[in-house]
Amino acid sequence: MTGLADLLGLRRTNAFGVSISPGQVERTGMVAVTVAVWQQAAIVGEGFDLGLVCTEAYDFTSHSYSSSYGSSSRRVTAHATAYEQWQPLDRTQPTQSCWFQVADWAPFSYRGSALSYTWEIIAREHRSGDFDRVAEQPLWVLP
Amino acid sequence: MSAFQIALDRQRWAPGETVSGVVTVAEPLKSRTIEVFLNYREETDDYKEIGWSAGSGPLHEGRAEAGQTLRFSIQLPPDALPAHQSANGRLYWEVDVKSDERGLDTHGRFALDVQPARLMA
Repeated sequence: MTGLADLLGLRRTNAFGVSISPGQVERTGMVAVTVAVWQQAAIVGEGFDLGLVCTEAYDFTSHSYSSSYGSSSRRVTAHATAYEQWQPLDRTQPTQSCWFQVADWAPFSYRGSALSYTWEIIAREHRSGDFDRVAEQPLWVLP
Repeated sequence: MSAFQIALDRQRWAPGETVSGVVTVAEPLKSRTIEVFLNYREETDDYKEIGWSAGSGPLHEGRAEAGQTLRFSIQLPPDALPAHQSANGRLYWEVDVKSDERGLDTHGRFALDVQPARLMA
């Protein structure tokens, strides 16, 4: 399954990690997240935050033209953020606990042929001029 | 105008329930069979797919006359999802009445409202 980190070319890190409970929640439900910082010195970016993110994957027809082959079209999958909530993290704390509530209007998890919604909790160290470092956990959201 | 009209026994349904209603044929049809389907559809700007589907089995065989009525019932799956619309696509339920004919089939498609069980209590 493609996660946000893969889509954005972000780098996974061993400097911090996330765990969640429960791994499955109904919309309007709460998710408890624990963030562990294992290597504080390795977190050098300007920002350090935690997100609840739903990514929408949708198929569309891409049209192209070349002088050699003429017009062509193919089915491709694009991605967009369908829902996100972020809160700041403290990099000096070895562990910290956070909560997220899934909005009642947000998408539910779905894996389809032309349309999918994928949820994850993602801790992100933002680095200007470099790839962000991330650690994530998948979340399954029920209607 | 649709070749079919439909009257569902209820307007809103929960996962696992049996959707039932009556289809009325609105115009004469050279049908081989008429069948009703419940479809959970995915739709983007360019593509439509069916994520889940169940049929009633043939409700009628042979030519159909205007005014003819056909009762159907089809069970939703216990984990049936509701509809959802996002920026680039939507998920929704439909009742598809299909007249199987020589050449192009005739369809009548109608919206079906399925809500999570927790909202039906």
